[in-house]
Amino acid sequence: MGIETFKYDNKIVKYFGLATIIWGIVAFLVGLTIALQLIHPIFNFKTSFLTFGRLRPLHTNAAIFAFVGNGIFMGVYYSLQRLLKSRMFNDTLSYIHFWGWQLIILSAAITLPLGITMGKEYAELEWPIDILITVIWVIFGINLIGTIMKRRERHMYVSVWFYIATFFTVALLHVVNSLELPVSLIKSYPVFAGVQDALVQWWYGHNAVAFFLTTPYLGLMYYFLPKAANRPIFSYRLSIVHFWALIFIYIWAGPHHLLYTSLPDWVQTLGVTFSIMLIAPSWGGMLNGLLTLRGAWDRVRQDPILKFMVVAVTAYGMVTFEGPMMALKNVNALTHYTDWVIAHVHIGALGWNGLLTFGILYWLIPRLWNTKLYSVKLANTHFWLATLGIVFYAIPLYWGAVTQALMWKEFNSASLLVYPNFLETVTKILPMYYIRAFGGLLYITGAVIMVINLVKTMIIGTFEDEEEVQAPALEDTEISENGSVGKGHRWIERRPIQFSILVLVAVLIGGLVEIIPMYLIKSNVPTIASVKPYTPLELQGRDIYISEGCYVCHSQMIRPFRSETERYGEYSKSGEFVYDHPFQWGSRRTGPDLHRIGRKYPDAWHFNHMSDPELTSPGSIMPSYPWLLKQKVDLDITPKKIRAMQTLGVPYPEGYDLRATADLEKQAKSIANSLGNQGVSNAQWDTKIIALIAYLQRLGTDIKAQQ
Amino acid sequence: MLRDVLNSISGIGIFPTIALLIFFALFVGAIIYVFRMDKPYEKLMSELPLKDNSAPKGE
Ligand code: HEC
Repeated sequence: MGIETFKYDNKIVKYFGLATIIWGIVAFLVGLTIALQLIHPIFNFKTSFLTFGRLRPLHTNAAIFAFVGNGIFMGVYYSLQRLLKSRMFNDTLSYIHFWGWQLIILSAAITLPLGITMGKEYAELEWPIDILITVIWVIFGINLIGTIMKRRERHMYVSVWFYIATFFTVALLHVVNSLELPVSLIKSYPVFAGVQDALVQWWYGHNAVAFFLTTPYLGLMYYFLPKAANRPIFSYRLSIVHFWALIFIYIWAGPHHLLYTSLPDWVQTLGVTFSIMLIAPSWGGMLNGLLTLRGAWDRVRQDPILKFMVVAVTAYGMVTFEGPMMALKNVNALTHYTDWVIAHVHIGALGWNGLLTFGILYWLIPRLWNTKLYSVKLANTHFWLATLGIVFYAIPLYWGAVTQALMWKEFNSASLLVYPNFLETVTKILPMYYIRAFGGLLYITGAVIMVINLVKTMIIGTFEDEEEVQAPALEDTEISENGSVGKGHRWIERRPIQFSILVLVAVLIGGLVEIIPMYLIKSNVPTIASVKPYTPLELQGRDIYISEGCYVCHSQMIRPFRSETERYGEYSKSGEFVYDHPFQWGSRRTGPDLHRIGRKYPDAWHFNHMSDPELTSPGSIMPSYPWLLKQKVDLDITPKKIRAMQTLGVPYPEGYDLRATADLEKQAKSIANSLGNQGVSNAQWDTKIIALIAYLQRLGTDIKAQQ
Repeated sequence: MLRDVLNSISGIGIFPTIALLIFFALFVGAIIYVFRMDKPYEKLMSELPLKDNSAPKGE
């Protein structure tokens, strides 16, 4: 057996590691900023670039794709080379991957504050960036599979399976959810509309959580936790069941398992049994992690790295238990649209992803720099600040969520809403927002301490770009170590291509089971005759609504509960959204639902409210939008937008694109006129505020007209 | 609301049924396989990450 000498590429790990640290701090700081904006709108700084509606998408994108994304690649590039005893497939691809990914993040950091957005949560980036993401992701995939192909270790350890599943599934999700029709370089419309768009979006959203925030991090856990504890994973068998169950279930049992009800009884029974059993794969992962440390708890007490990992894995167990609970219909009725969801995702992001990343960094950086961690004490301090930070972040939000949800639903003896003024339910929970921001501050302080600690470590150490190692070449034989021929899973573990195909099949079956109904749905949404396409002015106004990110605070989906129909009006019908590219249902009601806002107030009310919400709603935490009163609508693009909508199937009459601009002007002037009559003298017809008012006044009125 | 729309598609019940059954088969298959796995092999696999020697030089 020939022994080969080769080198691990440590430099690429260093690059991704530094990017993880830097983007992590950025993501946390933007997070703190938007937490402050919810306490007082003064933190929106009265500039369009920094309002909540634009910064929140920046925060989520930075946390998911910049912080966790780079964290994934750091861990993958380190562990993959070592698990497979091979250098990465191709250095050039590695560095294109690195710089390409940073370019994507940079483009996001520039376009999102400029209001260039698709208006779909966690998929906000516009089409040129979507294409770039696809290219870079494929490059990562080639590098990953290529490395696996030229490996020197015959068996693929469980981490590698998780990486493979991550690559294929994220590619699938991203491409399907990004099907969009460009109108200009910075604007496109998703090909799906309304209900269909919502289904595709949340199929993507749910699985992005599964395959970007969960599976790659489980892969990292299966490698770095045993490394840090210096003992093998508790049960390799459990990891196999865990892996297959997880990738299969996540993709199909996602958001819709509660939506189908016309199921045969026996299927329902089986389904319920399974939902209970399903906690097993998630908890299988958690227990596998925690039990790896059995008998080593004394070390956990001393070693901050293990502490970080233990709390991270525990947080994973908590979110994966909480998630299914929140999918229960009666729980969901209460928690949906509230801060419960925000608290939930932060247990995942700050707890599971954040703490595991920190643990890995503390383990990895000293090794890469050939030295010891500068200060274990500082790492312990960081651990406590981070853990307390999460507690101070989440508990007040859970509390506030329940408080607010109950206020929304409370009726008095005369059957009237006790809190008809939505704003009252917001100001009530403001104290919780103070504590939440404090929790965030603790978390960031901890992270800053980590940066100092790690930088000091780097200074005292010496970094080695290339690490020389030796390993026997992989021989082309079917005989395994104990002399038996591989079969079953053992067979598949040695064959990356077949393995990948099996993963793809598992994911596709689940994917198709969800996607096919989505396609069928189009012809199944009951059409409502009175629902007409938006006028050109309303369409422009809608794009302003999207661009300002109003959807991060406002839903457009009234649920059929008495507490909601009483407050907002007739509940939303699927047929009302057929021209909505993209849908704007929202997910969090920081402000009231807007689906029936049309004709609720006079135009002048909106004009004043948008220029400064305090004028109409004292104490409001909604940002003010004075620039909408000055900026002009881009009139030249109107015909193009109409044509794009026609391509997507919106029934404007033939040749309407040529008449659209004239219609727009006519409607805009009439609104400007009516504003003048209501005492607003400074309204110009071609400003954005006019288009936005036109859109708001149209919302939900097609059905009202029918009655 | 989504539920009503989905329910109006004829034969939709078959999708979750199929999915559940395929998953069930896979799950049972994985369990059977795992129980039949031999000990030395399990040991070999679970020790894979520990077999590269990358202890920090400082320790
Ligand atoms: C930080 C979250 C936030 C953002 C972003 C936001 N709003 Fe609001 N909005 C609120 C809150 C809170 C209220 C309730 C208090 C008030 O009337 O100002 C509200 C109220 C409203 C109302 C009155 C609803 C009613 O029934 O009384 C309208 C209309 C409205 N917002 C439109 C918008 C538009 C359009 C945008 C985007 C340009 C937007 N909002 C962005 C938080 C927000």
